[in-house]
Amino acid sequence: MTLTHADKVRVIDENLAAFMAVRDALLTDHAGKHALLRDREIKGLFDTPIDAQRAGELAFPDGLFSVQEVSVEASDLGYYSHAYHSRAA
Amino acid sequence: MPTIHGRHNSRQLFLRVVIVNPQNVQEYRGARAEYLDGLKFFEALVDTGATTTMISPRVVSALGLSPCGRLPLASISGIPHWPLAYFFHVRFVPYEVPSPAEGQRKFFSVFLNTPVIKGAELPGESGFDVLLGMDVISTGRLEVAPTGDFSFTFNEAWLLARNERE
Repeated sequence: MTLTHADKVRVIDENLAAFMAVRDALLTDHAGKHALLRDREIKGLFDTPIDAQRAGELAFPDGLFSVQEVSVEASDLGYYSHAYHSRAA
Repeated sequence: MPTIHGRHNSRQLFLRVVIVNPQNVQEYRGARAEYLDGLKFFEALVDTGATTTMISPRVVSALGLSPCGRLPLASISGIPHWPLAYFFHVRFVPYEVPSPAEGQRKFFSVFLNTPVIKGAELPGESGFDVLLGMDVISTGRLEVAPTGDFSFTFNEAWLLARNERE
């Protein structure tokens, strides 16, 4: 069965909600790591996002997983943040 | 060290880059860098104020990228946005290799700057397809001259030989 974009986004958002519920607790010992998530559970923590992605591809060939960084820092787009805000709002 | 030369308009600086789907890297493996084709070129706005490289929905669609998660982006409201995040390669094209004969395919010399970037999707279409952030810019040397010229020299430490790290 082919994984659709909608399916992938649904999995990402479900996993993100579960991840955010435990993110602050993870920050103590795992800040900067990258969490591999499946079925709203953390399946592993990796040093780089691509390591987490590759582990996910090996363990879950159906693609129903996602990767989130254990961090509270948000990326900054500088000046373009203004445009981003107006476009995304 | 390879260097890209170009012109800026005193307000903005654009580079032509190649974005590659990491899933398709295998098909390039074993080929000489000078003889790759089928590349997808995109206009990139160089933005030293951006920490992360972003790509437009057009890039996502053209490459058939699949999202890997979401990336928090700071906003002026203080509440972060969470656009979809993607893995991709950013490659630079310093020069076009002369084609052997008129009418034949053009070839480009392409350099891989960083192994894989985790960036996010821009909201809607802009006048450019890639917002080149400091995660990529800081891997090289960017020089902007008041004469309207600019150059971007790759940091040799980040210039990866093909087939070694891909």
